Amino acid sequence: MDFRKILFIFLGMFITLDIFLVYAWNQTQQAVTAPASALDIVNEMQNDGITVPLLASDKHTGSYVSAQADNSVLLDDRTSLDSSWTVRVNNGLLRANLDQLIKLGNSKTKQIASLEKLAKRKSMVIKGDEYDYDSVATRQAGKQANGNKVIVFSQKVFDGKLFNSDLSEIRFSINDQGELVSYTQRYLAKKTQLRDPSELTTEIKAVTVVYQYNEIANNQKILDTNLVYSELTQVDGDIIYVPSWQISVQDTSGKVREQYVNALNGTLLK
Amino acid sequence: MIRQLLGNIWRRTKQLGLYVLLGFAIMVSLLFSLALWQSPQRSLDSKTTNSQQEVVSMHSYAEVYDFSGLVVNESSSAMAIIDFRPSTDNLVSKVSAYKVKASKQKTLSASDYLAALSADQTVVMQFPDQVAGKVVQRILGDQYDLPSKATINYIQLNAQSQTVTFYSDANHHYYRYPVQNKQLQLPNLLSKKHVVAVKWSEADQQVKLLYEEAINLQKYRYLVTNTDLQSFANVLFTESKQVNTTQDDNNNLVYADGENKRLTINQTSKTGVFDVFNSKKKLPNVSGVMEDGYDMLGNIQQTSDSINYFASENNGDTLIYRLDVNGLPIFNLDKLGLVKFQMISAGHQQVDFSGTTLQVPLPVNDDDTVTLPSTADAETWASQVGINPDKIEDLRIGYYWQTDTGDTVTLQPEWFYKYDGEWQSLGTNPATRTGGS
Repeated sequence: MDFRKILFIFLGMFITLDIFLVYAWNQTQQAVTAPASALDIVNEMQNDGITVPLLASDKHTGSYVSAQADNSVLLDDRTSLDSSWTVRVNNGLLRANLDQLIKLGNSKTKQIASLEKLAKRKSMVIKGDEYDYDSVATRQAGKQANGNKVIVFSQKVFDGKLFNSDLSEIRFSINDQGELVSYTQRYLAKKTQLRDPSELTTEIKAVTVVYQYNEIANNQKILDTNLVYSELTQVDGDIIYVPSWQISVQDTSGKVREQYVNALNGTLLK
Repeated sequence: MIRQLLGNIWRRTKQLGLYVLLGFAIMVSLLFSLALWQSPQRSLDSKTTNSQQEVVSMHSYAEVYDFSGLVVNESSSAMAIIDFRPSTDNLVSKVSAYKVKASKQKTLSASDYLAALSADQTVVMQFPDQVAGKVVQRILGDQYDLPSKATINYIQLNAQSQTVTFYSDANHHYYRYPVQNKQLQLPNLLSKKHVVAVKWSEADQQVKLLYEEAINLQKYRYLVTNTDLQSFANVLFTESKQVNTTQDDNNNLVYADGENKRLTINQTSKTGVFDVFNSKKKLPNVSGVMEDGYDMLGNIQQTSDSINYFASENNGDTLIYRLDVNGLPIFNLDKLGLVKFQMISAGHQQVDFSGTTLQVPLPVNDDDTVTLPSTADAETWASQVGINPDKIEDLRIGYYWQTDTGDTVTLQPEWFYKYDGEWQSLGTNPATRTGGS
């Protein structure tokens, strides 16, 4: 091949490279258009292979809430429970071991339904009507070391939403035969709404915040979202909770983790 | 000969042209590679959206330019609702949904203006100071086609006449919109509410709402949130190609991009001043200034849900925003929690702000309250402590920021007066006051 041909080839390559570089540089000089709407960002997520369920832009309201973990409610009311049980209260944690196991059902759905009825009975659970089934906490609890399954009920805040805190949980231990063996309970007292409710970040906006903080990678799946109350800080014995969006994200290996967005100001909670 | 010369040039060009072209192509690729390396990070694809993360969500116009009072006018009296925010939020969503007919406008005499404002069986929502017509339109909807130069102080709802009326103190003018299909129904605002008797009054061309009796107000406690002001520099200069940091003669830290932005941080007082320069030649009108003020709040991340518009000064070229609680402004001696936006000139905007804010409320006892005297008693007390009442430019109830520890603050209800352009705590006559310190 003669030298001139080589030069022509190089010229062709550099002209091609220059066209690409000019185009790329031009892109960086273009003014960024108006910020994306939440829907635009959801489209981007879907383009990244992220599975996104149908998200709502309904408006919710909520406010800061305070509560106290250091209380004697469970200690004071433990005598209301079935006297044949072994009940201990230590540092705010109540442990109840049943003398006779209670059949709840073979399926998880039946077990949850049975526990919901059981929790309303004062001889079974102290202030049980203040708790509700928590699917996310149940999934997080997994199985105990003895192989028993755990179903978690969390305490409700004023508006029916749940506290996202192990200081407000009842953990029911269930054996392979679908029988309730024991449970542990913690209780948050002196729940106080600290301000008038104000409008919260929407569900769709919360999911886009998590994406924008790069906490959802390509090809991951958003399982579900819930509005819960998460701990923000503690001051003088009071725990301050803030309404927050709980977003469950499943990675490609099937592992699920939760991300939380402060629903009052739309920032990611770490 | 010329032909021969041209022929020689052509042959030479043919020989060298390839080398010249190749050299040129290499230079261009080097140049643009360098330019790309130095330019800000941008997406290379052709998407028109920008999913650049918004660290903090911006609050709406309604949340920033929120009301400072709610009054129910009855036949013989007027009652102000103390914890009015949920009620005004509810009324705003109703008024935004009304379908209305074309407005009627009128300019009234001072006495007729006051009479109209205090008309029986009406509800009046009060802004803390004038709010531009276009901003009101953003809050309530395009059906209220208020002029952008109009300034609105009150919004009155009349269920009997089915009208929504916007009142402007500036020229005693109103804009009245008839509501279609009898949609306007007023809720019973007085039941189970904390209310105080008030009286509409006019003095020195200003409409005032006077509290006719003592007012009992809750004290509050908050957790102080301190943001390092230097972190604002990252946010404020994202589009700048280069930012230089220097220290001025007063030991302030100065960030400047050499083009149109400058941030000066006073590390002692934890306050900042942000200057933005542009090529505009004409000052915006009052609506434009308020829209720029709102945008600037977002730019400097002052989006706490407690930061609200407080006052307009210098013929609308200066806007003051303050932290507030339950619609009442918070005053701090060191000007923490205050944002001042100014149009210095047509091409120069300046905003003073602090990195200290109050976001997280703390529990208080319900009986931890303070009873403040009526407006008349407060004025009497002012003269007793040596303040010339003729020189008091304004008198308002607010909260005094009292730092307890480094992290917590107590907000104590107080009367505040404006004197020589500055707001100060009046304190109250111990004989007429209960609670507080």
